[in-house]
Amino acid sequence: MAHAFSKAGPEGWSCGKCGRKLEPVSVNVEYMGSSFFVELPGCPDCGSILIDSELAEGKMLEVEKLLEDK
Amino acid sequence: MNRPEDRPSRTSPDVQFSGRTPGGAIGRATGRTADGAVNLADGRIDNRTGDRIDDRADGRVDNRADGRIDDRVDNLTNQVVGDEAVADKTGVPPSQKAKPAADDPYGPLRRVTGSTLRPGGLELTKRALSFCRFPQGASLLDAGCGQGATLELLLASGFKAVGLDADPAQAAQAAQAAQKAETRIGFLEDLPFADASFDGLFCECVLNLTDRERALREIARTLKPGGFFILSDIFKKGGTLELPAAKQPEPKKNLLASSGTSLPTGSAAPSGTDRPVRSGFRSDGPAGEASSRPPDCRQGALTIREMLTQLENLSLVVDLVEDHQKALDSLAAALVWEYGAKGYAQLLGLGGCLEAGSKEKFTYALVVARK
Repeated sequence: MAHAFSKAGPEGWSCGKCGRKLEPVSVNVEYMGSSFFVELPGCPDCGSILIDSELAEGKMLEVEKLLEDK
Repeated sequence: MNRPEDRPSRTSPDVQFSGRTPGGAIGRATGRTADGAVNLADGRIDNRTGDRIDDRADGRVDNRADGRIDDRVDNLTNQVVGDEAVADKTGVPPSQKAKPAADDPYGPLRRVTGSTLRPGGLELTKRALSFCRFPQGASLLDAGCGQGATLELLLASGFKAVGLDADPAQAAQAAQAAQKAETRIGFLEDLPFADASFDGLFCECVLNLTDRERALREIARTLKPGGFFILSDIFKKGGTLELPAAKQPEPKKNLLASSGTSLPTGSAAPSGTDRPVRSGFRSDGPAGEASSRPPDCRQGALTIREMLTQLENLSLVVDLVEDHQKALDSLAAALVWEYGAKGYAQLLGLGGCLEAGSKEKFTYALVVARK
């Protein structure tokens, strides 16, 4: 994927497209018709949101399982 | 004016899960402004025609003469919070989350839900207000007002707001949050108000914790003729949902001009029982009386059909039934996100209705009935 995030040392992630350091952004997450607000790192310029593997394999997976069980 | 924690940011990007994301999916923000629209569930009923749920294309339930439900939603939104987006249907943005007191037993839940402490938050309250179309100055009781989130909304919408809670600490916080509202301490099973006191009565995520039959009798007693009972709560899934033969609603009246007692400005609501204050939504109910209160909202839940029967037995005409399963699911999801699956399991004692995978399935619904 051409547009990616890059880790910029100890300060954390930055946007591969814009070069801006990611900032906490309020994000409305939707899955299977349910939605809720969370805070995730995002690019202040282009609005892209980073979901790292720890999050994807952790709480996001747990939420998916919960909603799929309902 | 709503408090900041009740409002999402104006530019809340949406991210849609795209299924499993083991490699760390990147979601693109759309930058879509949260519009605060009520997420209307699919399963609604129309009591004018007796249609079964899901039989109609739009699934809407509306027993009023003109059938208009949504036409005032936008106006109401503007009236309450200006052009700001209204609270989301699940909770509040992380940056605006409430910071509950350390000794608040519902603190972990409140952190996610904000001050409303219920699925759907204020969205369902606004939905009910848009449906009922109370005139300005209407006298509205929030029975089980908690910390007063609904009272604030009612005041901001131009209504005369009265709050009741059995927990003195909650009632005190409500009085602080909604200073122009009158607040009382008391039980739903023994409302400290005269007959025909209110144009509308809200009972949001509370009725299942009461001795329901007694509470419903009190609710019917204190409503003015033509007044609305607004119920949102947990319901068991199952049973048929078709409504009884539709009754023709009476022409719309100015509720304030109907019979009943108006509340004098700046004074206590009329009380038919000037008894000492009692405290707590305790399992023992009103002092000195045996109670059939359920231990939690799950055990106290009925099916929607059973609830409608109870309302009809009190000669209340059911005008609106909406299923808001997604509000319940979204709250559960937000709690898992916040606390993880294990932490969520520990929270179930605060809200057993949230449990996934249990034999008994639950939903959340909004019901509006008219006296």
